[in-house]
Amino acid sequence: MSRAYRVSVSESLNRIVQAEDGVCSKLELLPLLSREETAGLLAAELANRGFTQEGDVAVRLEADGVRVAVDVTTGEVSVTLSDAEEVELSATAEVLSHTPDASDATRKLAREKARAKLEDKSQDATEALREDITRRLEGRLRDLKSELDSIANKVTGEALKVRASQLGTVEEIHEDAATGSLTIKVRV
Amino acid sequence: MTRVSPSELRLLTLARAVMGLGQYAPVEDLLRERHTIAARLSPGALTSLRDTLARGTVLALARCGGARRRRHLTADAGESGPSRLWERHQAPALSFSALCFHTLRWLVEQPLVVPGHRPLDVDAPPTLADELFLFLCCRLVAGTACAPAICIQPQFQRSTLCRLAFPDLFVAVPGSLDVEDFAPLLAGGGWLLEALQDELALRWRRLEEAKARLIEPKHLVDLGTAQERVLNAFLEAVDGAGRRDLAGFVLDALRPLVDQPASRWVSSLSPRASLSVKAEARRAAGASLRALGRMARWDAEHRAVRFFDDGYEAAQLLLSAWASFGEPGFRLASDRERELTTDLATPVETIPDTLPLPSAESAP
Repeated sequence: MSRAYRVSVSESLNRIVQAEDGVCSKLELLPLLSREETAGLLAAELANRGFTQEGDVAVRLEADGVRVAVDVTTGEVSVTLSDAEEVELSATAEVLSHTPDASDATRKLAREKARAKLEDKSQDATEALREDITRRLEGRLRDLKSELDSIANKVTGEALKVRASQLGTVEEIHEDAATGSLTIKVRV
Repeated sequence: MTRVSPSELRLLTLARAVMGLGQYAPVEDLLRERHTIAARLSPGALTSLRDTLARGTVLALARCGGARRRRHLTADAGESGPSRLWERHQAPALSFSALCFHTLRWLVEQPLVVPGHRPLDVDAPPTLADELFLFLCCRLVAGTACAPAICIQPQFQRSTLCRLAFPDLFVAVPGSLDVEDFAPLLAGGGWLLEALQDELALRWRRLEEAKARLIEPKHLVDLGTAQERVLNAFLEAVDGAGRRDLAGFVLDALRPLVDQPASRWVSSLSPRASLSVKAEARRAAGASLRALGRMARWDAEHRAVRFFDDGYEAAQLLLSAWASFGEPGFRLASDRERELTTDLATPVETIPDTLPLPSAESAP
């Protein structure tokens, strides 16, 4: 009667897993002025709010790692968050052998199984990190949405003022901060 | 009385279910199990099959919407008064080709739910009658375990009518539809599309309602892509043929849905999916809303046609037919589509304990 021997191999892995998530949107800006003029107003408002201009794109990197980028010419917004984490993984695989001194092939097979398990664990770790990033980003988006709405309103208001001055002489401007309403009297 | 063999009876039973807009349940066993059909039908069975197809075609067209009095554009860019299908068009000469018989036979013989069954082996270009038959076959099995077996058959995949009515069944079909693909459906005054307006509206409404129950973002992306593919080609085709009225079913389908919040379209999306994937799914969910943008432009064009301009009657007919949707409907659709596409923080609700019921207004 032959006896089965269990060949067990342990493998470990130190790896830095990376994940990112992001979402795109667009600022709703009315076409009151030329594209260049609107871009100028938007860039100025974004600069007031801590964005730095990199070509046509205004970028703000926040303390929690969230990167907000606004293309001032198109109003397209991208909000991204990426992160990396060092993980220490270990896995054990077993293969049955019919000889007490396992052959190289058996050991190789066990090692390959252990490495496959490690790869699975590494993917799980990446996915867990991605889910964590998504959760953090979702929490941040609510605040960001209201800030972007407020930027769009501010730029629209400024654009209205410029447009009004192009149409004639502005006699009176009344802004209600509570309701966001803007009344401009123009003599044409 | 005509006497037929048991195998012929199975074939005729299925033909009656398909052509009579029957339910799936009574013929489920026929489709799920393997049966044998004699190589040739007896004269009596053949006569019965011909009779079933002939009478069934009239019945199906009438029940799918042909019996309803409606106004449509005519070939000379004029308009018909409210009339039934057969009052607007002379009875066309329809012929079912070998494709119809072989498909029917294949449906009975092959156990559609068993993997590895024989594929449908017939290579004949579908006639208009065949298109209707294939459409009715899809209608019978849509949403059942037999549907996947049918929608992988090239004969069904080549059917433009099937792809227009059931884009959800053909999401995996590669390649896009062309404007020319719709030419056979628009020939003869587009009578087939006129007859199926109600049925198409019902199908598309169910598709939109089903989006709220999809959990996997990929399924939503696939469905939206398939919808966009077929609808873009279809709208271009009807516009080119001067038959914008045939796109009216899209408005009928979406009318009760556009005043619902945008989040409704994506309410069951997996909360574990990444934001980028969910954003892609949200965009895809708005595929049919996006197509309404083109119809909104048409609507604006119709409003601009003055009474002394060419096409005034046609423009007025379309304005009247689409009045229940109208500018507010187009505006709402545009808002919903924009919310789905650009809203940064569309709330995704958790999966409900019970699935939401379809809207009360299920039939157009």
